[in-house]
Amino acid sequence: MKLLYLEARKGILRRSVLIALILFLCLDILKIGLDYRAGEIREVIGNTEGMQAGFAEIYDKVKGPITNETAAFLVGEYRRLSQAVADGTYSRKPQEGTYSGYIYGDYFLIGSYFYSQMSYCVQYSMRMAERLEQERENLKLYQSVGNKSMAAKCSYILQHYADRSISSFYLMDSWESLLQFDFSDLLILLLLILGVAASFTREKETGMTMLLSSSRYGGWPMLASKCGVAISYAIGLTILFSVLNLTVYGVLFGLQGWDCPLYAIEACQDTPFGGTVGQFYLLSCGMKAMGFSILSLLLLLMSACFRRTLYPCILGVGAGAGASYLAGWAASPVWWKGVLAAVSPLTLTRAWNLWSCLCGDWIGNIYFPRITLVLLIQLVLVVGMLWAFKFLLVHAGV
Amino acid sequence: MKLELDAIRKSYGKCKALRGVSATLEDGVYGLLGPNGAGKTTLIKILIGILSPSGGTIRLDGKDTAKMGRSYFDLIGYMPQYPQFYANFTVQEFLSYMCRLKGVKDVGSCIEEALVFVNLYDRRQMRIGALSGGMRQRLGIAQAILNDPKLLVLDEPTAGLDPGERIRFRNLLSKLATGRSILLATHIVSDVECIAKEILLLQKGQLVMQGTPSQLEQSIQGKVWEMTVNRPDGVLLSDSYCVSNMKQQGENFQLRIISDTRPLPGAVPVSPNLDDVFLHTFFRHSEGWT
Repeated sequence: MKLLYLEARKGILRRSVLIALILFLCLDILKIGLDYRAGEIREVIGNTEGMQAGFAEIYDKVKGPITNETAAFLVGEYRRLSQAVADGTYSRKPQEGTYSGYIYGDYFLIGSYFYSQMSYCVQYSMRMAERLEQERENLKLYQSVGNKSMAAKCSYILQHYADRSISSFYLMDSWESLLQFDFSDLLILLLLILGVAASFTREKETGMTMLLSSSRYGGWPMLASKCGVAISYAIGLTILFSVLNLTVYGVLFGLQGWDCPLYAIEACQDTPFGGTVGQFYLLSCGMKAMGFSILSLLLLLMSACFRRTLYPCILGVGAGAGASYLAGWAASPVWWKGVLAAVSPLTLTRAWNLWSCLCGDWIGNIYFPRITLVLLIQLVLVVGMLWAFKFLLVHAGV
Repeated sequence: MKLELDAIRKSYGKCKALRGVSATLEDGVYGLLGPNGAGKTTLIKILIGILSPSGGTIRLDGKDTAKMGRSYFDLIGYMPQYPQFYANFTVQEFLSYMCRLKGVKDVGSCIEEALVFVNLYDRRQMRIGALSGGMRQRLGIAQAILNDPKLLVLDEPTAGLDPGERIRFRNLLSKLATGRSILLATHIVSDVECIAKEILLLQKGQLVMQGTPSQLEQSIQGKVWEMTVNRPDGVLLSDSYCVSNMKQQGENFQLRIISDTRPLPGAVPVSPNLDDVFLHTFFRHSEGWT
């Protein structure tokens, strides 16, 4: 443990890295705050105080378990307000007895935020039942014509999408925004480069390479401690930023809805993930930690290949940009784009892309979600990097 | 302790860095002298176990070091050339780190002993970046002796030190020499002149001479001359002879010349020193010297 701590003291527990970390944490909070104030996460926040008060009042009435009363209240209010504004003769002046102060404001609030979301929640189980019925028919058809691969996909859907329903009503826009928030990923990437890229070049620049190599534990144990520190750093950063993001979103929007299923978010209606939003957030954090850990090993390998710190830094920025670009193809139906995305460690940081809809591949007649392919290729990548470390250790004496 | 080098060879492709170096090192300080490219660094890398020789064997107290595995590292200490270490570490942290890498058991007392020995105990909480060059060299010694090595290899340990620090450093080495071999690779002849038990002269990958300082000096007895000449003659002679020293005396120069024959009728033979041996061995035939 002491060796790990001292190894961390060399590159990560330095004043420059800690200052950058604090600055980046502030920047992260600022970005969420600015998005919030601009109404980019929830549009009504950018609206008038009256609209916000109206929004809060209606939301208080309808959030929680979906009951006949809440559903009836929303349907009734929506019909009443639709009729009131239908002919355009409604009053444009402030009115007593309205939520937002204006009749059209109420109509806008209910129509935009609550009615459509409630409809989606209530109708989800019925629409999913229809979908499954369709898949059963498709399965029979594919089996009859001998199309085993498509039959496998249908079987997968029938297995994973059965018995779905949404029993609680919460506005999921904040969760949707949190799950897609990737500004902190950029900050983590920069912090990783700052902390890891000099791991080996520092030894060369300070003339320590020969000294370390001539120590009993200067070979594999030291390499293992460097890898351990890099991975711990990546995991630590991911946890830190994930907790920070969750806390800031929690302060701004509340964390209600964490126990709703992921498909309660309309954009995830076809997700193969059957767990709750909270569980998915944990899963996405775990995947991020894994992706950044692999990226940190890649940075370590780059560091081992050069004599000056500048080169792995530049290459790290390039690799980060390239990996990020490839990760954008995570859900691509084009096979070679999918394979290239799977090569990028940053694809693991895009849990949303991989899980928000059904995205899978076939090997022969076996259907599996894309994440399996990504994990498999990343495993090969890690083994390859370990082999490269061994080669460098034995032949180049890093 | 007895370290035997038996016909050590090392080739990098077609380039032969070491061509059958044989020597025996026992307790005491050994100087390794040689011009750039002589193979000193290659020999050091082989001695500290991070490079395998292409041929030959190294035996430590009769045991083949190639068969000792990583346990060989327990018996050696190494101080690199121009050590910078980690500027953000304190002296104590750095030694603690090196103890872990060397597998030292009693970390606290080993660090304390080493720091007291090199007179850095009071500076143990100081950041390495704030140490002077001399202190950093002493820290280099401290880390090298943490595991109480049988063989201590020092690569250019006094480079960049002022004369006072250099003398202090030499005194440290003298104290360390009991019960272990110290191999001191350097360009600075005066570093080894006073403290070395034997000196090894390496040239183009071959050990061209080995012996005590007086034996080496004896080997060029009658080939070192001194004479006083005027300025134009001094310039002329320094171009055509191997001049080891040129001292101004009023309008004239007193020259110290290394030559197999008397360079001028007025030249008188003088006792050689190690600088003369160094020049005679490595540079006598360069730049058109006779």
